[in-house]
Amino acid sequence: MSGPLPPRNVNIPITSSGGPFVKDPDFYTFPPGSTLPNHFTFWRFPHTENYVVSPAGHPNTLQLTPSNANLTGFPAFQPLSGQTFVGRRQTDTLFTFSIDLDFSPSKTEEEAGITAFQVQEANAELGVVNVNGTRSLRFRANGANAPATVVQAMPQAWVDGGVRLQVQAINFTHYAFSAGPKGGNGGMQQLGLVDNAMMSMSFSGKFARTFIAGILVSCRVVILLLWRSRALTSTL
Amino acid sequence: MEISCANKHALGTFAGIYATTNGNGEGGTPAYFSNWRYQGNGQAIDDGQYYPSNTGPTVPQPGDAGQPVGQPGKPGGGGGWWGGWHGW
Repeated sequence: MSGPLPPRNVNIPITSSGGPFVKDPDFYTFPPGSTLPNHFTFWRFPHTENYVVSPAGHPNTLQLTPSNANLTGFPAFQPLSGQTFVGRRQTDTLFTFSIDLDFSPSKTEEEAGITAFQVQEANAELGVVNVNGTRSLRFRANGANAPATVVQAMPQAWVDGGVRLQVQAINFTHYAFSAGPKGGNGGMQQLGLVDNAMMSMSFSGKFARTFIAGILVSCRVVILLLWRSRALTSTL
Repeated sequence: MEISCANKHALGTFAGIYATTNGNGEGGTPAYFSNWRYQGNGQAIDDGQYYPSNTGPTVPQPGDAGQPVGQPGKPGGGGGWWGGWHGW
């Protein structure tokens, strides 16, 4: 085969209806009248009333209403109750995900923030949370060998002016969680670091064990069949 | 059990946002998020070697404000708004 390849054509129908290419970055400002892009993903069936783009009085924001359950859940958690979460897949080895947040939690333990989430048993968060009446930043991870929780009072300027939260895959092995003033005008301060092995848990081990067990069973069956066929031929 | 675990763990990681009362009931104070940015900073192709991530949408998206100022893709960048896509 020879000759030039056909020209690149990216105008496939899905892209005109709100579907980006898998390797594309995001920059969404949630203007009034817009909807969530197709590649945004929920965990559990979403209670759609908990996700509102540009509600009255808050243009260019995505309003999230808190769910009872946090991202880890609890033993009595009923999945249909829902968990207020919306995310997008990590599509790059290294990435930076950031968002600005205005949140005035009035009751203790009300929390909103940013997460690197795999499953309920493996996730890490940096959130704005009401800790016994004090507006705080809390970094918390749940999973194998999870790092210790970090809580610190939020600087007054961020309480007044809003906060930017960021999670970054900084290298082959770690996610870093940082906070700074809303809008990114000022330095980001790192509050937490998570080994990404926590997000793959025991996948390779379990998978290998299942796989090896399968081979062992297959071998036994083959040996058994050979033995039986030998036994049969010897009795004939 | 083993199989379901294997399936479950085939999920990748999500970057996202959340809101919760941590067990104090549904609802409560709403949270307002703005300026959602996700920018790839490199795709590992070998030990210590990274292929540049796209720095802009391949096709302009409804609601996507495009390349955020001051956040170039690193390392290398993908060539800007239209040149960001690299077929393999």
